[in-house]
Amino acid sequence: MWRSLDAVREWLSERTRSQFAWSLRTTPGVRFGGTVVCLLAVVAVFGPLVSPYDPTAQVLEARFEGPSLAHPLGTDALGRDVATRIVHGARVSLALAVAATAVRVVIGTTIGLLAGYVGGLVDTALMRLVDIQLAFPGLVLALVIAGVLGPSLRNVMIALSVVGWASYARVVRGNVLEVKDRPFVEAARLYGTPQRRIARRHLLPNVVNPVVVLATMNLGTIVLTAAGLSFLGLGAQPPTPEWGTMIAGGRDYLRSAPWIVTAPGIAIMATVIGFNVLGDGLRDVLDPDHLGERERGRS
Amino acid sequence: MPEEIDFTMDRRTALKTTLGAGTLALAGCLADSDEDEFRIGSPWDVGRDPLEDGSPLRRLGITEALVSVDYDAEPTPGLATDWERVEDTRWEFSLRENVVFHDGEELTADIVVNSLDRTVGSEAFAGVPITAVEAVDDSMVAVETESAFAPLPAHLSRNDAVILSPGSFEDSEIVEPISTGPFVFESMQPGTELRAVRNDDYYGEVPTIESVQYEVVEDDQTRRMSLENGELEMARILPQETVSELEETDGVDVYTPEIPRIRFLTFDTTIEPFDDEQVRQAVNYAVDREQLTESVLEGVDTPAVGPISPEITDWADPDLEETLYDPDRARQLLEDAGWTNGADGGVRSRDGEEFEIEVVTFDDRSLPLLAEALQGQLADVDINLEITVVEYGTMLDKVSQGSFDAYLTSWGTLWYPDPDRLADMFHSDGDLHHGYENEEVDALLEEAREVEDREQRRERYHEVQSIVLEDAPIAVLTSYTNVVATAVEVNGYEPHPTESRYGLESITVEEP
Repeated sequence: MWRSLDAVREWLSERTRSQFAWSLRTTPGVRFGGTVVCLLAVVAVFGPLVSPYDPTAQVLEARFEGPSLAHPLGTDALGRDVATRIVHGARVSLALAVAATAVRVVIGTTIGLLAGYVGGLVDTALMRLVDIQLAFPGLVLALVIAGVLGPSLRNVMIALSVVGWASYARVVRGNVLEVKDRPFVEAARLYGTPQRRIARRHLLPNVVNPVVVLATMNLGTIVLTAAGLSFLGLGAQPPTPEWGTMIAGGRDYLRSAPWIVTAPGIAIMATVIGFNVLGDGLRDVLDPDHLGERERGRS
Repeated sequence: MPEEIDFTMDRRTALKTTLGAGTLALAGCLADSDEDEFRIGSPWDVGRDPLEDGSPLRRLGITEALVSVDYDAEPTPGLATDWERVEDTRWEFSLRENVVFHDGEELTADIVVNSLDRTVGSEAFAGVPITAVEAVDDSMVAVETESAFAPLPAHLSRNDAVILSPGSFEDSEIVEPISTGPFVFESMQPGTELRAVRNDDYYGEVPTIESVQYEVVEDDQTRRMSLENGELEMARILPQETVSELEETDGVDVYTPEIPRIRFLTFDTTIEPFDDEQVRQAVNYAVDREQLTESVLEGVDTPAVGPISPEITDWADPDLEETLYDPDRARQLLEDAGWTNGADGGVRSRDGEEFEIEVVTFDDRSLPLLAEALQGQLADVDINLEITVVEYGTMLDKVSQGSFDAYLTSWGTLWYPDPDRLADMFHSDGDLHHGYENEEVDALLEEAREVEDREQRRERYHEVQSIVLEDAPIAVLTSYTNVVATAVEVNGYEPHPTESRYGLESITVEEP
């Protein structure tokens, strides 16, 4: 009898797993966004290995060359190959986005779990902190922090890490509040399971989905914000090939050499759209309640 | 049902919007029809007070000073027709006769004294050792200085020293800049525009232009496009990279006068690695100025090694080497100074420390691009250059705190027409943050400031220039070229070397 129950359980989990994989594959958002993001990742990882040019080597005789076979995206004001710089820039932007998001997720989830599960004064205190942070426009706060710390890519990463965690804390706290009185948590508690283990084993898995969705959407925003800060001169310093810096350096030549600005512009746009669409798709799959609400709201 | 209401609202809104936009467009067309106005676009802000953003007032020809600056960058009579150094520390200026201010007030010695007292007490004149300004008689003003000070007339030509009528003030605040120039102040919006009209009673050449509108347009490309679209008659301080395109643009004339302004690298001579003269010289030899001007500066600037261009004035030392570029010599100097390549090539190091320097610059005047090009050139002699681009104010903060190895900036070298400006650059009490001290240079600069004879002064300034080229507290890179463009209908414009005037009085505009 035990065995047959196990078999049923296995069949069920297999079934849900394959259904999950199936719905992942068939959701158009996930397919499209995923393709874009995967492409970007491939470009970031392998592109620099393939490109024949040095992203920082100046060839002052070959400035402002239009797109050609040798330079598919042309050259910039210092004769550097724009395509090579875009590819290297993908590395910089993606690495920065992933790192900053990771920091946000860790800080945000920890605080959210703590606030939601411990409750009381701790909850109130932490949530006011979150409120304060949400009251500031993120970009402005990041601008201030990056400005105070001084212009560098590392400081932009620090700035973007410390400003964005509040929304994670909120989402996690909300989900924790929802599940913490559910029977299985009650059961674990009655069983004498240590608090930390309850948080880790019973609460955390239930908040993963919304966090994944949020993080995916966030990656795009961070790429955009980091490029914005670099554009303003607060981020990557020359000659680092960074998309925002490239746009800043090319904007004076918008009319004579539009490719210098257009290429990184499209790169940023594609990245942001890719992550956003992927995030949207993931939400449809991972967070069906949300979808239901939206659908109901429409009718 | 709700949808239908929404729709009607939308239509009404659309209708209103269209009507509103139409009216605005019509108003725009009507307002644009004032064709006799001469419109100038410039990045510099404008103010009522000569001491605060007041330089456009003089450039436009609203305000005038005792001393003017001619087209050879030399002091020339302005409101004073003549001056004499009667004693070492006393000068007498004879005022021009029959000059009337825009408000009808006559120019007298007392008015000049009052106006100059305000100038002398200002922060801008803190470095000028004037002890007293007094009226000798109705048409003669005497100025006393603490020590012998040959550059005095040049300082009295500065924008801070323009003469204002008593009617300009209300409780020592300037309500309207009333002076004696060929144009009369009409109105202004701080940060936006200033309007002036012709002074028909001007004592000199009366302008043909009837009215002038000075527009503050900060963005370079906007200024350029406004000119191309016929919204401006003159656009000033355009970026170098626009020259070749503007030259091909119909309906636009481009002027590229060399002005006494340099782009240069200032070293912090108090700390490693630039405390070593050989290392500073090495940078001087490693820079290919020709390539810099030909590439990133579009062949518009001129390569320069000295602070003053011999093209502009004979204050410049004509015997300075014309070119310094010699990368082998640079490498040798670096070797001699102990900065050697590792076995693997790469960046030089000394005692395990890499030759990595931070160059600070600000986001204007093509400097960031120039810094990047420098980065490439210095990499050729295995020096690693890190660039920090900040705003101008931030850069000044940084350098005054000494947190830099070198900074790249741009300075006017004759903005008051006297080579005493070299003291600002190279005297140990000067304004550049290089920490450079050379007793001989200090002594020469102090003497040259006191001596009256031009030839003697020139010898000393020439010597200063050759010493500082050798000691290299700064590495001069290029001599600046101003880019000014006008509509093709504009005739008679002559660029002024110190930019102290636009010379609007000699400009005529053809009917298109």
